Amino acid sequence: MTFWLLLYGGIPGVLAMHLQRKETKTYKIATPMTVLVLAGMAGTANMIGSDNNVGPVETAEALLHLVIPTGIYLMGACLAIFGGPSPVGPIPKNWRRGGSILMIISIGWIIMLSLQPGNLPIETAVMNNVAISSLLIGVSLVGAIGTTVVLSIGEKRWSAAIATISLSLGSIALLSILASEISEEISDSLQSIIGTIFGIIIALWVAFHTTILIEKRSDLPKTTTPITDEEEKLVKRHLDTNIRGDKLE
Amino acid sequence: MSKNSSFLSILVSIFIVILAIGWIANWNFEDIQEIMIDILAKSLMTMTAIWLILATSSTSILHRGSAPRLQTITLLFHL
Repeated sequence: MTFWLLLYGGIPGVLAMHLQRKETKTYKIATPMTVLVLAGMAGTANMIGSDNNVGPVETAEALLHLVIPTGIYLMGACLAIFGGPSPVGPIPKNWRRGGSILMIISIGWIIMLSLQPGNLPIETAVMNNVAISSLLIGVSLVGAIGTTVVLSIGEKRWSAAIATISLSLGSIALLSILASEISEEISDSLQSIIGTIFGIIIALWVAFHTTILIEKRSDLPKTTTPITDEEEKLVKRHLDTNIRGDKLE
Repeated sequence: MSKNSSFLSILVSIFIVILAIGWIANWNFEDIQEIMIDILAKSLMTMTAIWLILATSSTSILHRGSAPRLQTITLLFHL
């Protein structure tokens, strides 16, 4: 009950607080309130994964195990893309090769996490199967979308297209290897991902159209009185002086 | 490529990947009803959470005109 109250009441509340004007007291207490709401949610989220007798600690553990390769991959991607001869923001120069190596390490880590998690230097998470199937499905979808986008641009960026399609196909291949052991987890993860995508699209569609409906019907604020004849003459006179070069009377 | 056709290609690529993974996960037509119900339940949960967050936060910010009333009605319809 507390969890749902915090999710449906707390999150919108702190979001609204963050969107207030910066000088208000509400804005100033927004960050500590967000921390409190998130901590409250983490503490009361005991229904997550209750079907499999696993709780929030196990979910957090599995997410933490995924953060390691994902973080390394993102760091590597930033260095590989922006680490050229000219510095971009805080990213150091000439780190493209280093970035690529980090990306390869993270892909290797994910493969190990999928196929032989016991051989990794850290202990295997309880919900490793669920986490890894969700990650692989997510990567395969993102890879496929990335390939389509790269090809749609039409500038013959073949290396980028090959990289994204390899990620997608590689993930699907890993899933097919794992299918005999964790078929149920793959099915659950796929259903969750499809459901989430549908949910996001429909919710955003409804929100977008409701906003249009509201904005269409709302009156424009009357902030100024209509221009008087005297003001109109004054503006015309100034325009004549400045544009046509007439002398001021 | 035009915007419409590139959007369509993205949808097609998503569909192909879902079909491939569904085949790997041993999905079949006999269980399709159960799968669809599960997907709908999950999309409803996501929808409700996102809509609630969007509606309540934007209502509290745009507290003018008929916005709060209209959003509350849409929210109830959505639930």
